[in-house]
Amino acid sequence: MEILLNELSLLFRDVLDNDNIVLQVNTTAADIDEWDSLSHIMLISEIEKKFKIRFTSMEITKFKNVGELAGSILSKLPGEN
Amino acid sequence: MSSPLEYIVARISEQNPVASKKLKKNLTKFSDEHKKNANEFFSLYSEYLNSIGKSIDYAIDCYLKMIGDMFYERLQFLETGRYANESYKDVNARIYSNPEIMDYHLHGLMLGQFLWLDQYIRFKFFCDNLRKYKPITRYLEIGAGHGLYVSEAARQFGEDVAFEVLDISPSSIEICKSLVKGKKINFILSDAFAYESSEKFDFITIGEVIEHLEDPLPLLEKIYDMLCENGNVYLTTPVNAPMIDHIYLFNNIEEIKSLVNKAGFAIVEDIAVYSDDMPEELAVKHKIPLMYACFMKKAK
Repeated sequence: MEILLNELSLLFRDVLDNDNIVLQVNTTAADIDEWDSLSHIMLISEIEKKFKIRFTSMEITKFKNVGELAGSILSKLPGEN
Repeated sequence: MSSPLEYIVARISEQNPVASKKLKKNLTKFSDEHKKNANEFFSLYSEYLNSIGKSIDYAIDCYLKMIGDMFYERLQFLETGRYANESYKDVNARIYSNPEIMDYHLHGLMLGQFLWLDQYIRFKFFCDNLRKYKPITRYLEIGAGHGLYVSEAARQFGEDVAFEVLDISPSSIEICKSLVKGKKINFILSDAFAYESSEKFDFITIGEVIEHLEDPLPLLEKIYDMLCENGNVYLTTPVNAPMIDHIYLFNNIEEIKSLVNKAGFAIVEDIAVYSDDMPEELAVKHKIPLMYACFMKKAK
């Protein structure tokens, strides 16, 4: 999880153009100004490309925090189940 | 005690911080009139939900499911540049014939009407300008929706006008009827193409319908035929707005104008609002949905 959080932090910094982002499992959109519905689509798109996974429509909006997002990514990676 | 509007936004914030950001930003721009109208509508809508054994929390769940669909469709749209749906047959099989999806989609849209600033701005545009198109004796609305437009027309035009509303969905008509109670409106379960009227209409409203068709031109031509020589039409449709049931993609407003002109209409006045508040250059770059509305007349 630690490695994944670091990778996600780098991705969030790049997409949201904010070098100060350090993601924790309990980080939510309320903690990051730039993370809104518009940038959320860009984040999901970049995550799908980076990890070669696909989220469903239900998953895209149900993540309450970064921990849930990371958990969903892990569940989709080969060999993680 | 919080108002229905405050309650809805608070519940969405608890469940989905990402989706709630735009709503909270929108709320700061709502006029007192907008808040008043929203609270009246949501109260009426809550009464309807209670009457069918549900509550506004059910509608909030529906809204969040619909937002999930919208995000998903948008993701695909930005990758492909196209709407996912290509035919009415596919949408009918996947969406219209699926009561569970139709139910949450319809209820989600009910909340969107007042939570989304662009929707309210277009409704206000209709309300503020409708009087210019008096007098009328026969009013037709294609697509029942939430009943807000026909309700406003009934309020402004009065009891002497004959109001008809067409829709292909019994559940849409049921919801609409419950929200326009007290108004003399004739609801007809029919496809617009199958509908025949012996008399023409002075005013026809068609909101958020033509993007659901493979080819909107024949319907616009049918509307032209159903309209009196000096009649008017109020039309709304979006640009770059992928949804689970949208088929026809308008890439820009010029494409809409060109199509209505082709059907024989001239635009009298119009308005366009981006669904996200940002500079034009960025909105175009990110293909942000642009919500269009216009009053039209027959081109002579």
